Amino acid sequence: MLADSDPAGPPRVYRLSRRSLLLQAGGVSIALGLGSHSVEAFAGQLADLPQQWKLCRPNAWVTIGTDDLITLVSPVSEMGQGVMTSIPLLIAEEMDADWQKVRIQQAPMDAKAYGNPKFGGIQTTGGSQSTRAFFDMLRLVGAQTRKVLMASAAVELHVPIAEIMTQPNIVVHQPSGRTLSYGRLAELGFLPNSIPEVTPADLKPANDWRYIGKALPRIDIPSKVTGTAEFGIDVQLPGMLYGVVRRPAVQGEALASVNDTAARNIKGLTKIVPLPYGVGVVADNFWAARKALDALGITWSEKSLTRRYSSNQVMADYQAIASKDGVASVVVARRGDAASALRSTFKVLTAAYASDHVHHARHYGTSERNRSGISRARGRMGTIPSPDGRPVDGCERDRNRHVSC
Amino acid sequence: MPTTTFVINGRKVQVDAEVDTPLLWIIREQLKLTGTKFGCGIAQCGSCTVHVEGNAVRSCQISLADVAEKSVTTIEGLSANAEHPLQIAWIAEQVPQCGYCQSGQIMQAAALLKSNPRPTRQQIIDGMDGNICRCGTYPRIVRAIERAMKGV
Repeated sequence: MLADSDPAGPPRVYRLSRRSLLLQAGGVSIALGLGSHSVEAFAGQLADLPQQWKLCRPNAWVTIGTDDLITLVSPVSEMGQGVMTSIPLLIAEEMDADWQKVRIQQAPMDAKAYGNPKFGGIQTTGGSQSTRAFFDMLRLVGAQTRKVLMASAAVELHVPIAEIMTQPNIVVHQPSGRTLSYGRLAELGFLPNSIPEVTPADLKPANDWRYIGKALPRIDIPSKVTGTAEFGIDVQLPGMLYGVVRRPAVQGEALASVNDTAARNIKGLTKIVPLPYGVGVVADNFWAARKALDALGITWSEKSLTRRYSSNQVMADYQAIASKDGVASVVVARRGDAASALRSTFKVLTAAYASDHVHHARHYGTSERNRSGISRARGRMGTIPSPDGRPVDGCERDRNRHVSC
Repeated sequence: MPTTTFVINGRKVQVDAEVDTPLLWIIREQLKLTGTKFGCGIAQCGSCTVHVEGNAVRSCQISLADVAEKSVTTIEGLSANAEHPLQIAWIAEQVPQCGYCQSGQIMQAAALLKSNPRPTRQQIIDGMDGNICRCGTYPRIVRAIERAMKGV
């Protein structure tokens, strides 16, 4: 459960006192607690919470269903790198979840609960940082969840916790052989009086890992072969508008003038929006926006220094510098004695390797959706004068619609 | 606004839209079938591949008028429960990474196998040549098609 120290913040604070523990890991605070009893006791405080927080939720990362299915939160975005599988798997490993019974849920927007400790706690994915950021932290979350389940089971079975161990999705009392499934424990909803502490010493040694390091099927793949995986561009809101932007072919140029006579005749057009770096068109469907954009007569400035930039010239300049004797070079790695090896070898092969200017681009177009009402967006757009001084025209008829750019 | 009638995934639909609108946008915005993707809009990537009358086409280059009274199949209609041999093979070979191009890849591959149930490796490569994968999943795409072809 989430700890929120800001008293003026939204009411998603659980004050579970002794029944919660603040686990500090990588600068991110996680308060852990277990059981539906606590949910009932704090029902008043929970009234404003989204439904998903209410039941069988030991902490911000784990939901245990009475059907024995476990839902784990993935705090990072799946972009093909496999993190929707590999990151929640860290929790599953340490809490001894049965991976076959695990479901994954994408984290909601909540940086306090799910922020990336390698990015100062903001909720972002990138820089090959996901595993590095969450590897220790989420294993501790899993280990603590397991300890909570064990403590809960010990009281339920009236046995010392030292006699309790776990197997995937079950707690086992070794001397008697009695077991309780995680789902059954979630149903009993018992919460230990004090949440067990965990330290890195509680984590499994690598040779005990069931899942980490194994090639498990990726969670996201089935949805990607049926077309049901939802990408940013797939989100459609009622009455949504579609915006497209034309930018200059040369970096640094600006809009000189726009002739929009033809574009104004396109059915579905809502608005033409001159921008400092180009011109945007908003319409009630993508194709109308695109057609209107193509119908604009645009002239661009011709003053950018980028016009003098030549990648061929840059490459030639670099090669000339690199081939000069005596030019200081940077040693990236040094192994053995290359200089004397080259002197004594039978044959020396020389080659120059070059790469093109490469844009680190994705396949698809960049898309963004904006929930701002058009009236608010208009305020922002309205501050940008059109090149000929005309005010940007209004869109009252679409006041309740949304802008998508 | 003119009305156009066609069949999509076995279902007859009437669409009110400008008839020059590319089929891609009709599928995505009007029919809310977002499995078909917009990649380039100029028939250079294959992400928007669907079947019209059983043939693989780039839906960004086919207008609504072109499909009047015709039958269109998208990734959502390729099989009822994701049990098309290619979908099973795609999972078995763990093909997709980001996944954006994969609807188009699978639809292209389905048309390929329909017209040539036993393609050679080179015929697979040639047949899939117009479908770009920015993640570079090509070796697994070929393996998955070979797996589906052999029914394993």
